[in-house]
Amino acid sequence: MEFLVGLYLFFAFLTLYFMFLFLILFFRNRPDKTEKLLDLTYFPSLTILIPVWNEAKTIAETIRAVRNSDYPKSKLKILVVNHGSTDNTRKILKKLKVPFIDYLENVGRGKAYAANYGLKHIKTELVAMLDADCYPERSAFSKVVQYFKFKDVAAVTASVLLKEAKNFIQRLQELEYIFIVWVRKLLEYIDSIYVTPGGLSIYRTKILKKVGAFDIHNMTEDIEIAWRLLDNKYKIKMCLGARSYVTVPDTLKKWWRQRLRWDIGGIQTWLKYRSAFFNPKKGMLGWFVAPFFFSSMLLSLLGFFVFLGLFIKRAYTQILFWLYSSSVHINPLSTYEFIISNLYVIFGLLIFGISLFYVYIGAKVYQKNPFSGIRNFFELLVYLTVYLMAFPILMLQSIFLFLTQKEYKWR
Amino acid sequence: MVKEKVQTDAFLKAFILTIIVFLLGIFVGYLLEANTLSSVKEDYSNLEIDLTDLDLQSTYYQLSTSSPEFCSAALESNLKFADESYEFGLKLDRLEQTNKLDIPLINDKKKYVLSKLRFWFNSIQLKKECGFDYHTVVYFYSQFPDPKTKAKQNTQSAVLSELKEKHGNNIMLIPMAMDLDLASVNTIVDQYGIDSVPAVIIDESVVLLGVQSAEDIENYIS
Repeated sequence: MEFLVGLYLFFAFLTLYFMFLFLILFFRNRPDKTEKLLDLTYFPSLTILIPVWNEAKTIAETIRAVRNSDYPKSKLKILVVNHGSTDNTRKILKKLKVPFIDYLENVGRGKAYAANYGLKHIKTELVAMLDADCYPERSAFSKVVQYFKFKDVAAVTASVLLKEAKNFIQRLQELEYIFIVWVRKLLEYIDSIYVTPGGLSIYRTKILKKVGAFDIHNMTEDIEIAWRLLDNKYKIKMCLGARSYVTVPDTLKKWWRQRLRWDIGGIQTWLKYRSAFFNPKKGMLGWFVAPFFFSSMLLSLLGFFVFLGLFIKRAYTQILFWLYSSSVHINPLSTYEFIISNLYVIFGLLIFGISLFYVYIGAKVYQKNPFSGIRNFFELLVYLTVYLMAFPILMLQSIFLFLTQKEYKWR
Repeated sequence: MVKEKVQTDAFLKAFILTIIVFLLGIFVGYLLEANTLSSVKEDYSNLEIDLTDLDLQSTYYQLSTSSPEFCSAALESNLKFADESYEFGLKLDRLEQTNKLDIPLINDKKKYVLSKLRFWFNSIQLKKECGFDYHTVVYFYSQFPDPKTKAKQNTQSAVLSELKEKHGNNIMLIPMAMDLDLASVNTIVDQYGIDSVPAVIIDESVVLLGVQSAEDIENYIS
């Protein structure tokens, strides 16, 4: 058997395994049903911590969304950390009369610096990390905090979804966010939520301080803190019904830069916790999270290289054929026959078919039907093919940047 | 209260399900390839019968007194065999490209090449005995080409296909893999000094190495 064929089968096996794992977890638990068991009776003291750097365009709406919350006002505080903003952010904060503190050190070096500074001023039982361009639903905080009834829960995250998709690239991200959120809920059933996103995550203040707060050296402090909590045997939950809406990059360039940061942060995190890999002492961080993260990176790169290898092999022969054909005056298309192996077709169709099913039930959880209308279906096809193909290229660039750059710019 | 149980048994269940589906996929792939191979073997079997038939026809002519009707009948059989074996060669080629589970094909390929060799000799004999003026164009290629050689071979095949279409029964096109470790083929290759592919032998006398255009080959057959 050719090497590429063997590699393809290995890739197919791993992909199928993770797909089946998530499908089993979904059908067993039906996430939207399990959440209905939570009743809103528990309201501990809560501070909404919002680190902000040059967010004049969005901060007002974020503050309004927080103030509009149905959380008991006597238990709710807001604290904005103005991390050296040079636009009108400070002016807006003053106008809104929202409590804020200025932090003028390490400006532009990352949210973790501002978050940790703010954390020192927080005395409430819980602290919510909220990005300055995120808009939680009215009942988001109330729903999320119910999970803290379980004493071993250190953090709970919400469904972070798109506020509004205005163009094609944002609509693709909208699909992506839906699937990420759905999978994250499924990971809760195996204690393997590996990120507490800044879109809205709430932490037990005491535990967050105890584990050392956010890693200022990591580009994705929300991934790193989740791994640290798991490493310390704390539990992370996800409240599917609590929604927080986020704005996403509206151009390819901004999207690319964001994803590079995420990938570099992911690499930093994985390297920091690489000793957890299949380490029985590390619980699900060792048994699943670290290997899953690594496998995802590996599958992404493997799939890319298998595809690239097959493509280059065929393209090279084809280009040479065209060159020779033109030298002997033969129509280069005269004998072109695209032949594909049965094996590739079988597993390719199987994975694609399961992906479509996967997409359908993931989207259904959020009452969206990706198959309704030609436009939706076209976007779905582009998402499953072109969009996902960008990730291995991003990963390669991230690895290169990680290895060659000493310091990474946050923006 | 929400269930707290960590559902780690899902890992094992997912693994078992993946193994089952994966093996099913391999099995279906194997079945499809085996089915195609079986059809190819049956076609080859028919081809062998036709070739033996040709040989016997020729032997009978040699044993009995010459008959003018023999030559036209023999030519017709020869042309029919040429077309059938060409189609068979294409089918075998397609099977090789889709065969990823290593169901052995090499012996089928060898038998096919030997049948082409016998056909070539038959064609030479027929030319001598009946005075036909068709041209034999034997095309040597590699069974295990690197990408560059594969591109050259694809080009040469395209040129020869066009020539065949243009000249019809005036050309007996006989493609043959030269690197299947067959003594008979090796002898011919050594005798003609063929050390690279693609290579073409026209009418058992002209040897052309490398990719040839239709015009180059037509210079020798017109």
